[in-house]
Amino acid sequence: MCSRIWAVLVAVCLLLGSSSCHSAAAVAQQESYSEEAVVQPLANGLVLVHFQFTQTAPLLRHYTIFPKAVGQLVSASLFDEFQLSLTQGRWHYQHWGQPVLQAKPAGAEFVAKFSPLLPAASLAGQWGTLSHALGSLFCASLNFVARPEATATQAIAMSSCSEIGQQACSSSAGVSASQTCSGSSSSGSSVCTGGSSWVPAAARQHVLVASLPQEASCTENLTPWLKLLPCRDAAGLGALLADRRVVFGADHHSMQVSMIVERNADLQPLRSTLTQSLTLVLRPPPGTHPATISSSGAARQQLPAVLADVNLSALLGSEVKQACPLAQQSRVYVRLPVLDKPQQQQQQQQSNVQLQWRIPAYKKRNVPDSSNSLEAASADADEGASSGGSSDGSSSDSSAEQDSSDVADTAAEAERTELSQQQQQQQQQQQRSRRRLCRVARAASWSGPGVELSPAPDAAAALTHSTPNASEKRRQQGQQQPAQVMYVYDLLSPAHDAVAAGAQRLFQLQWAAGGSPGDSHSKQLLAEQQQQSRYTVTRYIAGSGNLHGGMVLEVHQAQQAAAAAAAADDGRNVSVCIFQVVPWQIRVWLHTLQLSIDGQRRSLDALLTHRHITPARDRTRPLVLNMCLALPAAATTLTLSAQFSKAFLTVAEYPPDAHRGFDVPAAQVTIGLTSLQTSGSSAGQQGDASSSSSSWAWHVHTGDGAEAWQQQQLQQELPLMQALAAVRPVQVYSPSLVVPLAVPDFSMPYNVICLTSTVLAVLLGAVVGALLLRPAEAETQAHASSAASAAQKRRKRVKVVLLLAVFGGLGLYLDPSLQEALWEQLTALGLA
Amino acid sequence: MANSSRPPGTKRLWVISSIVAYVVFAGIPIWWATTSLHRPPLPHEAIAAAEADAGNRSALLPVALQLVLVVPAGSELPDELQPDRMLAAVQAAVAAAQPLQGPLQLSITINTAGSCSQVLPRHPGVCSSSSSSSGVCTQQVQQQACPDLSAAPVAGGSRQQQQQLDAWLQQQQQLQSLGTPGQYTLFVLPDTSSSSTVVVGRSRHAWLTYQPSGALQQPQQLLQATAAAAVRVLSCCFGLHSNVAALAAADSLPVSAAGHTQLSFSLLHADPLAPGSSSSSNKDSIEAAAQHPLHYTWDFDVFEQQHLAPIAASLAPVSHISIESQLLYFTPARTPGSWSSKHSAFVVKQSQLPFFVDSDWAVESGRAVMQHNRTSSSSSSSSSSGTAGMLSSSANTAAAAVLESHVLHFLVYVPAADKSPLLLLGPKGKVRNSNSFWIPSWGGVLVLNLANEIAAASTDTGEFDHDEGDSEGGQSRLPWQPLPLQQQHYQHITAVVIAQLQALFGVAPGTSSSSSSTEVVQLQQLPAGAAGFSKWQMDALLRQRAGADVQEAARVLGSLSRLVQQLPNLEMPDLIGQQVEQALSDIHSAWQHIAAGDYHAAGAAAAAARAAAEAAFLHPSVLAQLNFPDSHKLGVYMPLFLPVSVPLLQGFVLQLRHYVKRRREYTAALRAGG
Repeated sequence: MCSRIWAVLVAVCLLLGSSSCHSAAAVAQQESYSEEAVVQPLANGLVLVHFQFTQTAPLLRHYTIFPKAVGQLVSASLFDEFQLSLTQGRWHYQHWGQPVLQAKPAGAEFVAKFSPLLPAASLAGQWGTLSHALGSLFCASLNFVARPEATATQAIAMSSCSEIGQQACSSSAGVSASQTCSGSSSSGSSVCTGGSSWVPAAARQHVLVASLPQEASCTENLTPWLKLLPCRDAAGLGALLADRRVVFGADHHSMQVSMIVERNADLQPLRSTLTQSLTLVLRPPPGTHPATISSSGAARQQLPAVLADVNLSALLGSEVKQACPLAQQSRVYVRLPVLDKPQQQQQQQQSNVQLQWRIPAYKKRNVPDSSNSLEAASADADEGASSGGSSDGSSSDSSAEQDSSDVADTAAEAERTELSQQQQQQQQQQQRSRRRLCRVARAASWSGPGVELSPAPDAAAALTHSTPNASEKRRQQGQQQPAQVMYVYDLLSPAHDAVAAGAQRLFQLQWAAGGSPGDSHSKQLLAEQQQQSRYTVTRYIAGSGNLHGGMVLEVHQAQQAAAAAAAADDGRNVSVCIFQVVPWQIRVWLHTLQLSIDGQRRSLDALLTHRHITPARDRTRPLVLNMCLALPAAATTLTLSAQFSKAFLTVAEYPPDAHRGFDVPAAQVTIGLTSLQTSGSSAGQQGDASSSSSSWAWHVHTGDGAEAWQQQQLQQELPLMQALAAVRPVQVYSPSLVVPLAVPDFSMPYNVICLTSTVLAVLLGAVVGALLLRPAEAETQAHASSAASAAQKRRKRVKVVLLLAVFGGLGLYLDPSLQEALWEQLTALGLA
Repeated sequence: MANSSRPPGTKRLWVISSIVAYVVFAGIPIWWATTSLHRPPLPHEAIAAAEADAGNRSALLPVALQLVLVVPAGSELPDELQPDRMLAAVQAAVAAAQPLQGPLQLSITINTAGSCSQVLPRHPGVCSSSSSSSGVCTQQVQQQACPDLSAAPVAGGSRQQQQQLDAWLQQQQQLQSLGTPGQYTLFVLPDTSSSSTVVVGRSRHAWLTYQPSGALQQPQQLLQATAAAAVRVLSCCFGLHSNVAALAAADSLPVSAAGHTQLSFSLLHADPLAPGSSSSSNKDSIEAAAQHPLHYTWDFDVFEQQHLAPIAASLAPVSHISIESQLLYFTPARTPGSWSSKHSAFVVKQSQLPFFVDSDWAVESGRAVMQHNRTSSSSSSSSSSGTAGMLSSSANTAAAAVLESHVLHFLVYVPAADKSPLLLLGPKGKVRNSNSFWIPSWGGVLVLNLANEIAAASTDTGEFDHDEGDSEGGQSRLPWQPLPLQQQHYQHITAVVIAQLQALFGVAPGTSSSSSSTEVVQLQQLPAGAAGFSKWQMDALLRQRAGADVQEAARVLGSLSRLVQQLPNLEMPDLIGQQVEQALSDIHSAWQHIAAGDYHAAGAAAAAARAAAEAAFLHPSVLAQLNFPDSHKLGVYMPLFLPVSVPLLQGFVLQLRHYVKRRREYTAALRAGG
């Protein structure tokens, strides 16, 4: 009964979005800390590891977990929210697909939101305080961010339809607000006509944005970042970051700190949430995995490295020795691509257990019987393990084939047996701890189609579409396919006895591409993996020369998605918001702004829905282009171009490396579709079709068959899981751009001084000459007597000597070394 | 040509002269005005005078010591104990021992059953130096009524009785409106048994007991003891610290230029998850210790209220104290300690102590944002005014960050269970009493061995269940609850913190009385209790701080003045000029207050002077100064000035000569014509 009430509450919370529910439901006056990580294979054998550490605390004078420095920051600056990211390397949308949450542009990006109650005049001071404090906290040169010519205001934000309806009641906080808001959200959603569930609206807060595309991130930024974690890199998931060479050698490395402070009407902080996340795209070191070494090299090289074997601790160069005792949640998720629909149904037919259709291929590998009941399996696993792991190679293969008919293990047979030996050892280790703790047994590994994970995960979670009505939801789930599937490892689970011995065993996590080259699963996974992000953004410079140029921004939609949208065409538009900051040195001519869709010129005014443009002013503020367009859903390419001329700067305004050019910060393109709609190809369509009052929810299944709904409570404490399920618009950043400007010769000032002085002197001489010249006198002087000329010659000689003496004296006066030399000469002469 | 009345050539001379005049009188001033730097005029002479003053004069506040000899009613005073002779003897002893620098005023009061006769030296400067030994120095004797002090509850030497007497004497002192800062009293009280120990109380007094019957017959002995006691009391406590080293350390007080000190408390867990130590006797206890990690927490709000607030309040005249705290985990020391079977513990040698603190520990404060905390804490929780203050003061954060408060770190280190107990060794390998050490002007470290207690507590399971039952409502998924520190831990921490604070502020007791066995009188100091600092210690700090601040302010101003004179290219805002003026006037008033002996006013004025001087010296606009060497200037200006001046001067000289020549011809022609 209680769980039902919880379920409704959670559903309401998910419905309303996170912001208002924090105050309503989670008013616990305690500090909390949770750590989560997502591991996900990417294309080309790369592996994405995303860490997220979340700490929340009410306003206290003395914290027990929450870092002191950040706590002081909350009371020092009146911000509502800030987000700082330090990124190295680009996120390749084309190859890597959508990022886990958000991929930040290279360099530093700093966004801060201030309450609308704050007077606009004090914003600059608050922004300066905050950026200086953060700059000193993270050893980043954020002091450059505080300058007004680097700061832009974002006035348009994407908000969901439900949020718009909610805006009216969001001001009245409290438990009762959740009920009233849930009522009004459905009525408010009627405002949002049209297809997309996200519409641009004026931002409710003061949003200030600044970026430093050149800022490098290195260990001096990571060390203070780690110091904010309660267990730093000594225990818990933070220990995986202990090898700095791996962290900074990653293909893509993005470190983020964000903080949300809830304030009351007096702007006094009530509760603050600090989220630190780190995204790494890692290249597995060759030959570290035993399976890779043992298997026949030729066969392996033929196989396209779609899903490389990955050993997490080998990948990161460090392992978790012990769980962080302060974390309330400490979890690792392995996110694997979702299978296609027909595959799914095939599985459903074969399995009559309810758990199986929700999570594809959640089946333990070394289960000898074929009952597929997980409770039975776990009980049997104990026996199977005690009888010895040697039998599990063949038997489990057969059971796996039963379940997923496409698995063909012939090529990887040798590898399997070796793996099973490893598993055997692990199992024996496990068994020792198991006996003491009398917990449910866990299998050493499990395999799905083309994938095997060892050790077996604690639970599997599927993200499905849900409606607030719980009974209806249960009915609907049968027809739905999950948008995401994750396998969950809980470090704090008592089954792991993580605090005691054997915690490091957890992270001998590996997935194998265990299939032959012709394996259809591999192919399918390849297709899934290489499915690029639905939207990509490119930006480039047109034109040449030091005076003029053009800038072109292109937003591409993937062909198949566009085709699907065209097929289901009902005249709907997708809103696309473009936020671009251009430094004042690059003077964009706004009248040259041109829009073309799929190569055809279109009128910008016809498609423009929202616009907020702040023109640049020299040396004081940048140009801020914030535009929202209603784009036809079937369009594949949107091109926005503008002409600019380059400013003529003074010498002092050039940076030290002037020849590099000036950075134009990355353009931020927000598309009014939820990220979940775009990630799965078919799931997205389903999401579109359903009513706007529905939401996404995780369904968690543990090995011992626990009730899924009870597990859902945990989402409250799992911010990353919550964030993955949250609906938010797709955000894509363009790569950053460098515009070269005419660079002066830096020795020029002296030349200019000399030239102007000479011109002035000549002018003055000419004027004086013209004023004083006597034409008649010149002739008379020419006919002067020879006696006079002799006297004049003598006078001239005296003049020359005098001039020499004057200049010599001046030189002696100014040059002490000359003085010394002369003095030495004189003394030498005097002595001689 | 000759048609004008003026001589020929005048017009051209006027043309060239006006051009030259234009260049000289308009061009050069404009050039000078546009290229010269703005800087306020600084009173260099006044600064030099103030600096010289600070070097010559001793900036020490005066000390007055009153000796009160309590004579029981009915007994006759012998000749040697007459007040004037006593004064002379004590003065001689003090002058011989030279226990303090700075002015001292001695006075003697004989209290006999409610009537007092007080003797003051008329000219303290003259009398205290040379002529006092003869006793001929003219003295002023006052007779007045005063409370009878012979009823003092003098009984025994136990700590409690001493505290009773201390409180009683303090009451008496207040009745006589004595005991303002710098005014000290040494009571010589009759007792049944004579003791050779002088006891320094918590307030501004000390006392010595004597046996009336014996002493009045042998007055010489009492006189000697009294004089020795006065010397001891002055040298240890009431005077400035006698040695010069203490004076030199005065400007290293852990107080920032703005007069702020931040006490930062950290509770460090070396390794909460380490398994229990192998030295435990039976296996069950290992299991128990392994089950419950070494995770302690403190209720810092209560700790601050009960223990730290009195200390902060007592230190308030010297420095504004703010307090912060945090808990840290996984912070192993850099010197892990080695097993010593002699101590049956892990020990860290004294030579390793400097390396104990690891820079990896996140003990540092969020310095950039502390300025605001101070303003909000001073406005004490009135929420709306705090916000308004924050809005207004946020603009000048960067400028104010230079004068941050001095941070003192107090680390409470809980060693890992497998490295426990951990003992810190002192000199010669002896175990330190409090298991702690302090680092000058940085803070202190205290090692708290809690692993044994946790093992003891976990065998006593009843207590644990109770703890967990209390916090059932929380959302915590931890398999255990962190253990709160107990009252005895808080008391222990407080005692160590007080001792370390006293050491950090340079008023630690017992440092100057090491070789006391040969002295005539022994010295004993009553501990200051919860406040941490007794009143005479605060006086000593004020004396130190006021003197040091005045001298430091003058020195800073002097170096600013020299800097400004040495760097003609330095640009300065007007604010610096105002701050310098402010600092000078504060120095002046501080000198006046020092001469008058007004401790609090002198301290405040000196602190203000130093803050203003440092603010002027460290003004951010001065830090970035442009470098324009003279050769650079020559290179920039020579290309203009040389080619311009040559035709101008040449034209001028030519025209002048031409004019003179033509004028001569003209006058000659006139004369010939005339």
